[in-house]
Amino acid sequence: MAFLTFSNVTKQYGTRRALANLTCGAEAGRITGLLGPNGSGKTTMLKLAAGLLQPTDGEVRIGGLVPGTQTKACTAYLPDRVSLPQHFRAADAVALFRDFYEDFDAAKASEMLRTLGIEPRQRISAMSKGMQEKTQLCLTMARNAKLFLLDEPLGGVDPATRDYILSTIIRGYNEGAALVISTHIIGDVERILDDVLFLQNGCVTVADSAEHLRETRGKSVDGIFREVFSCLQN
Amino acid sequence: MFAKLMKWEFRQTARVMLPLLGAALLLCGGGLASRGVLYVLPLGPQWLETLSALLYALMTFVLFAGVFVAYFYAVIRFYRMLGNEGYLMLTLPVTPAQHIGAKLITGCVWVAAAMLFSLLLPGTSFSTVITSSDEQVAAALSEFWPGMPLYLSFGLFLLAMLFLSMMWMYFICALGAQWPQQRFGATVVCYLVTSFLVQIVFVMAVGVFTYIAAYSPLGASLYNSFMANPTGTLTVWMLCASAAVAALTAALFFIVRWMISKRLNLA
Repeated sequence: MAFLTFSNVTKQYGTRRALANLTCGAEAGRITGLLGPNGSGKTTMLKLAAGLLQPTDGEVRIGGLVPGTQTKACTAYLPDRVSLPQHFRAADAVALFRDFYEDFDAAKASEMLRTLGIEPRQRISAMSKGMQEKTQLCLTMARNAKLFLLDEPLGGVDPATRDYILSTIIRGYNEGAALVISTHIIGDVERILDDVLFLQNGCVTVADSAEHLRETRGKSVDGIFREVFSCLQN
Repeated sequence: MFAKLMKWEFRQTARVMLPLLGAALLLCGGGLASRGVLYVLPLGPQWLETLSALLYALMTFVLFAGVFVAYFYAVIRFYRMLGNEGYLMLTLPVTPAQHIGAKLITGCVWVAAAMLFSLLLPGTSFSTVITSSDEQVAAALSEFWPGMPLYLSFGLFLLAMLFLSMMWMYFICALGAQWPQQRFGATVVCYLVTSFLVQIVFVMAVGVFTYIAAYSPLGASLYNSFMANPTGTLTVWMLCASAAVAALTAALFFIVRWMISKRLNLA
């Protein structure tokens, strides 16, 4: 039984359909890669699960519950942009998470930030964009959430930072939780994926375990992605 | 969670408002001290009088700035919540109603505090009370007390208007956020259009009210009751107006809550 389920979910923005009758899920204890080109509906899916959007039709469930305050309490969401207020100090951000999330491990977050060389009194506005993103990732991964939703955590970062982000995800991720990571940079993330969902034009085109996919297609997930989305040709 | 959110909102807004109100208090203290010296030494130096006047003028400026800052900072915080900060704030385990309520109450409390300071602190520049005799103070109080219900109802009306105007700005922000790609421009246009519509409605309402007051039996009866008991009638009018304003604020609150929970798409 999947912990996060989408049942016949459609999301329409005006006349544009972002998700079309989507049915899929993510299981607890597994890392699911949400893979697809830009505009395929990945962010919309994660926003629906995070409770930031309402489906036009169909139903999203997290642990059997419709997204709301109860699900937000056990869902750690990392958006694809910096959402920390610029006037915040690092300590303010830690305090906010500690105040509102019971599953937040403040000591773990402080340790992760210290490893990055971020002082508690350092302002978010004084950090580089990459550092702001890392701060946000540390805060998200310092939670013992039941569901992690990571939206493009590898977007626009250098290879060294990608390694840092992936190792932070693996170290921070609690084994019993469901983790959904959306990306179109598959090469780096492939090694940590248990399951993959290929998304195109708001529809799931492939849904399988990464291992089974590699065995049956004789290719890496990255290779299959390029094949499915016809990106191999110059 | 609401208590935590309130605490958080007050902590965040206090960082801007406390220095402003503190500066006003300091300036007032300086003004009072210099006046005190002048009171003891009636032939004090001219520069001390100038300093005292300058301190009070500065204080008045800081206080007015405080009211504006308190109001617009509350609106800006709400506007920001519907942008990038929304990805953080709206994923907290808190309902949209609690978010709106916490921001509304915090914003109004700071504006009311700044207004109260603006009313009370400049009063310290007048030495009337200090020099008045006990009889004069007693006479002033005996005139003041009978009007108390009216003053309170007027205060309630002002408070209700403050909540309504803040909620109105939140409504405009939420309306502008329905166009996430051009949110700022959309918010400005929404402000201009809705303000224009409200002014038309207001002018029409004034016209209807004037007609009723001048030509209908209801107007005559209202006039008679006002002439018979001006303070009591005005108090009732103020209370009725406050209730109407509160109802309007509640309606806007539910509309904004619906927009945020059902219609919002953060850019």
